[in-house]
This record gives sequence, C-alpha cells and structure tokens, in this order.
Amino acid sequence: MKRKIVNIIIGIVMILVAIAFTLVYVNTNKGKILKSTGTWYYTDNYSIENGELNVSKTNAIIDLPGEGICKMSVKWDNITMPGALPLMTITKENGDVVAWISGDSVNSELEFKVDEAANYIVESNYYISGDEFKEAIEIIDKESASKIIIEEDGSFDGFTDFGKEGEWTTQYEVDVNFSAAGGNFKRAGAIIGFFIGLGIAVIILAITKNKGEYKEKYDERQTLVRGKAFKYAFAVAIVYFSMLGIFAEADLLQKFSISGLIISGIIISICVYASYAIWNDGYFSLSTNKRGLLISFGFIEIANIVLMIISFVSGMIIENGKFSFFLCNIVSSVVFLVLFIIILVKSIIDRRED
Amino acid sequence: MKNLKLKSARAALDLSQQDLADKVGVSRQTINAIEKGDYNPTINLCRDICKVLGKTLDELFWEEEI
Repeated sequence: MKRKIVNIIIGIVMILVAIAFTLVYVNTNKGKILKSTGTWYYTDNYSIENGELNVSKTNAIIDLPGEGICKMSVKWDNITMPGALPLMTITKENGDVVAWISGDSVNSELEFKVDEAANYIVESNYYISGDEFKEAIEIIDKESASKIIIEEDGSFDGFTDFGKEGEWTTQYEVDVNFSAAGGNFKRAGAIIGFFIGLGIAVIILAITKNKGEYKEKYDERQTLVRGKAFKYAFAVAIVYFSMLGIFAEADLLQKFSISGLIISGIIISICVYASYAIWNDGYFSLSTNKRGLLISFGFIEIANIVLMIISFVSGMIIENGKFSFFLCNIVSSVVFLVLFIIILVKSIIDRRED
Repeated sequence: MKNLKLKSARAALDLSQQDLADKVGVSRQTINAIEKGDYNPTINLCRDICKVLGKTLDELFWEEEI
C-alpha cells in the first residue's frame, strides 16, 4: 500500500512539473519579439540624363537573430515624381534574395520567413524601363514576374514616367519587426507531453497493480531467455550507434535530426529485446496480465499512429528540409505494431498448445 | 531429446501443463520446453517437479541407455 501511494505521488509530481514548465515556457516565449529592430530612413538620389541612370543610394544591414517571421512595412515618399521605379530586395550576405517589394505603391508591406540568424541587406535598385523592371523581378521571382504586364507604351500599372530625365530624390521609411518562430513550442510540447504521459502511466500502474505484483517473478528458463534478449539488444545498439557515429562524421545524415536518430536507435534496441523475449516466452512474468498488456500496447500503437499522422499533416515531420525529431513517432509506431503482432501470434500458438 | 516420461507422469495424475507449472512455480512454457526437450532444467527444478509428481529423479530425468 505504501509503495502504491508513493508511486501515485511520483506520477502526480511529474504531471505538475510538466504543467508548470509549460506555463512558464509559453508565457516567456509567446509572441516574443527577440530583437527590437526599429525603423530605418533612407534617402536615395538619382539622375537620368540621355537615357543613363546615375544612382547614389544607401542600403542597410539588419541583424535577424534566428528562425522566425520578419515583417516589414515600407513607405515611399518621393520628393518629386521619379523617372525610375525602385525594387527593394532583402538579401542574405551570400546573395540569396529572401524577399522583395516594388515601389509602385506608396505604402507596401511584406512578410518573409527567416530560417537562420544572419545579416540581411536591404537595398533598392532603380529601373528606367518597364522591361528592365520586369526582367529584374524575373530573376528573383518568375511566378510574380509572369503576372507583370508592361503596356505597349512602356508603362506599368499606371506608372508612365519611365526614363523621365531629371534629378530625383526618394525617401523611404522601413519599419522592421521580428518575432521568434513557433518551432520551439513544438519541441517543448513533445517533451512536456512525454512527461505528462509518463506521469499518467505511473499513476495507472500504481492503481491497477495488485499487492504481490510489484515483485515480478521469472523462472530460471525465462531468466536465461531475458539474458540472451538483453545481449542481442545490446549488440544491435552497439552496431547501430557505431554506424550512426560514422555516418554523422561523414556528413551523410544531413537530412535527419540527430536527436531523432538517437532516440530511434534506443527504440529499435528495445524492440529487439522485447521481440526475442516475447517469442521465447521470457517477457511476461508469472504474474503479468497478458491481456491487459496487449490492450495497453494497442492503445500505445493507436496514440503513436495518431501522432504520426499529425506530424505528417502539420508538416512537423520535415523541418528545414530534414526529418525532424518526430521521426521517432514513425519508428515507435512500427515497433509497437511489430510487438503487437508478435504477442498476438504467440497467444494463438500458446492457446493451441494448451 | 523429448522427455516422454515427464509427459506420461503428468498425464497419469491428470494434470495439464499449466496445472503442473502452477504447482512447481514456473511458467507453462517452461514445462512445455522441458517435455519437448528444448530446455534442460537445473537440478533444483528437477527436484521440484519430482516432488509434485511423486517420482524420483531417475524415473523422470535419467536417459535410458540404448
């Protein structure tokens, strides 16, 4: 009785700790702007003479701290009517354009996904013909460029002053806001869910186990079988983790989350142990309720399949082009299915032998 | 090698494998493995089985010389 109470208390404490962690984590990270990016003011001067464009422009470098969403609003303020249209690009230091916005409207907003902490260059380029303007967008974004219609007179979207000679000054205000990605919530949720599930399992086991069932009894043959099962599982673990280390060192695992592969290896080793022990009648102790365990395995399998479907549908299974930690759900689903089938087949064989 | 002596001694007392296993304190599959010859029990288990079936070690576990 004392042990039962202790186990229930342990389970409750685990759940409470997980809930407390959730509350603290969500409150400190929800909608958090990790960097106060502020507002930049630019002034670009350019002149058009004899069909030639001369530009004196400024650009800015913004430092975005990590994965998240960046929102920019741009307000163009032309001192005089320009002879060129600006195209503002947000570029990584390696030259990759992550977002763009054209200056054909006075106020524009854009939002783009930031996948890594880096310096991003904000600059405007100017175009004195509609065709040049369209070509520049085509390099960055073919789909959007295909929707741009340059009229026969060379105008675009009502802008008719391409190439108008003179000196122009353009001022614009760029307001940048950055918010952290929700990816951390998913990982935190997975960890919290694990501890809540573990806590619930401890409580259920404590409530449903009868006195005497705590000390599991295995006969001498079963002990031998379990020893062999541990040996085979250990061997599989050694081989798996050695290969994991070698492949990781050779950079062959870029498409996978290493933490997911590590947990998958542990799950596979457990599968080897359990499969051998179940098949050779060494898994269940003399006091184990086989039917109860079969039902539990069935529920766990269903839960894993549901989690697997959710991770596929929500896109959590692939993060930044590689299999995420949720790869474990796939492995876990397969393992529990295998164990469920083995237990079922063994039950049928045992019934025939009776 | 199959242990037919054990099987017949068990049948003589009208005991199923499960019944014998419960009385001896092992799993049914262990009794099955011993009868099939898939497992060699320790001396302690042999003694426990003999006690339950009322036989001697020689009667149940000694191999007949051909």
